[in-house]
Amino acid sequence: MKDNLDKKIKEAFIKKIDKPLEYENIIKNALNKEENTNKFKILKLVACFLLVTILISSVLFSKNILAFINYLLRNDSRDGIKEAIDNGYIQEVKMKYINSNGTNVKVSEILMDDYNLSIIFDIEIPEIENIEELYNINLPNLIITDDENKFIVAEFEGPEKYEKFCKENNIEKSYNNIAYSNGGYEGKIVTKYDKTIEYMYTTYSDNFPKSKKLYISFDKIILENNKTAEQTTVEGDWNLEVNLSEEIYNREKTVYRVKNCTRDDLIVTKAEVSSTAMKIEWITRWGDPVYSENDSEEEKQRKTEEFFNNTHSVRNILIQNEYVENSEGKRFYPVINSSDGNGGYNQMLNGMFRHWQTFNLTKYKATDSLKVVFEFNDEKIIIELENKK
Amino acid sequence: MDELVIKAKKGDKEAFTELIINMEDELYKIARTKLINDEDIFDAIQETMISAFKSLHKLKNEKYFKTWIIKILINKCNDIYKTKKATIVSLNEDIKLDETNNFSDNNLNFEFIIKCLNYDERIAITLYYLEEYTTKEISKILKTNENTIKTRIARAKVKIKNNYKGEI
Repeated sequence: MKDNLDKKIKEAFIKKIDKPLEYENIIKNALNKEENTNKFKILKLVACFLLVTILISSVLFSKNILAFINYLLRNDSRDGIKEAIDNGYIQEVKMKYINSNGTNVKVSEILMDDYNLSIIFDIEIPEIENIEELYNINLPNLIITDDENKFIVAEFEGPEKYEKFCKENNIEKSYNNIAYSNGGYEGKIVTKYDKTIEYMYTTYSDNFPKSKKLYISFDKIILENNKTAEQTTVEGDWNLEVNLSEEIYNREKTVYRVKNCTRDDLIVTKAEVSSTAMKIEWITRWGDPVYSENDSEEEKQRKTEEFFNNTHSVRNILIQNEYVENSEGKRFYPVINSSDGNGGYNQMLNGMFRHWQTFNLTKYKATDSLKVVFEFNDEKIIIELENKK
Repeated sequence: MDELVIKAKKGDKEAFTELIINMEDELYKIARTKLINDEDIFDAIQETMISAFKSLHKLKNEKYFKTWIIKILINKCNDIYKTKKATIVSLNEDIKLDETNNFSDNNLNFEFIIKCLNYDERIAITLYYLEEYTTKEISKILKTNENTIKTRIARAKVKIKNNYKGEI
């Protein structure tokens, strides 16, 4: 058996693996990199097109308007967070107001797990008028780092601010995401009274780190008026420090493994439940590869272009009616958020298809057995999961 | 290969590039033990090529060209990994099979092995099986004790065997 294992491992390493088309081109041009900067950028764009990433919420695949409305009503993006709060997974923060230019800000509550970060700010603006007409708040230049100097959130109101920040912090200006937050966020005014506003800021990630302390800074508070849509900007320099509780930084996720799946070639690469959400990822085959490795370069290019020109090739992949069911028969649906990319898929030219989704199931309602159900191009698929323990 | 190295040492870019193309699958796999997305892997390999070509004249013995390139690549991968640590990735570096779910039942392939192991085990077993280095040679490349390398390879094989559901 030992010899057979060695042989199999050896074979696994020897066998050539699929690599993106532009890989060989990158090697050929590496030594001319500076002269061919523009060519490299074009290759990068080609690489982007070669991986078709479409972020589509499941709601787009509802079959009729009534189902869509019901789906919307039962899928509040904040359900998982609300459930965590209802179960005590929120930390009250005792801190003094930080004043800048006459405006006081402090954090009153905070919640953080691997997938969600919610911060409730108390903001006192003595000069605010018509607080009842206040509709929304925005913190355009919000930077949050942690005790290990990791960027948790990095928001910039424009490229100039971003470039200045990169220069001051010696960061390469690549316009790639530098923070754990995936860039999506939701802001909500919780309460407003006298001159005080309670504002809840929530952002998302696939893996927020287990930070022990957060450093929060911003230099603008933008107030939006409901009736007039006017915006008022309050400028200042607020720097807040929040020590996170042991419950938050020692948190654990529940990891599940597959017990059974009705589709043989579907592989689940992630199935985890946290205090605020469930994340699942899987890959399967969607069809034949767009081109063969034996094809000439021109043929590969032609077939790739043909594939992208034929939009039906992409739209034919449908994932519908997704939900997770616990062993009590309760169902949980995909989170609907504005732009957090919680659900999406990659349809790859090698014939493989990868999908990821976030559900409103938390560990408070998760059971040892779960069922993930969805339709993949009209094929109903059921994945039975069990707690890995 | 030695002839190409000699040409490359004299500044022949095409000869150098041909050497790298002959190793492209191996370099990709070695970079893949540390880095997850293709953009980072390409950056590591490009930077390796640029650094190596500039300092190729320092290589005393042509027969060690491959090992020398691999060492540079491993260092470049480590550098890129450190600078991009804060970037969100969809797969954790230390994702292990027993923390996820059923990977391919009957497909003991490179990706399966990568997912089974942590980085130390991945790079050791990759250099052992892919490049057929001895444990002593691997210990020199990774600057680690030879017994540590032997342990990592042994542990890696146990993990692969325990997680692979097919017949061995």
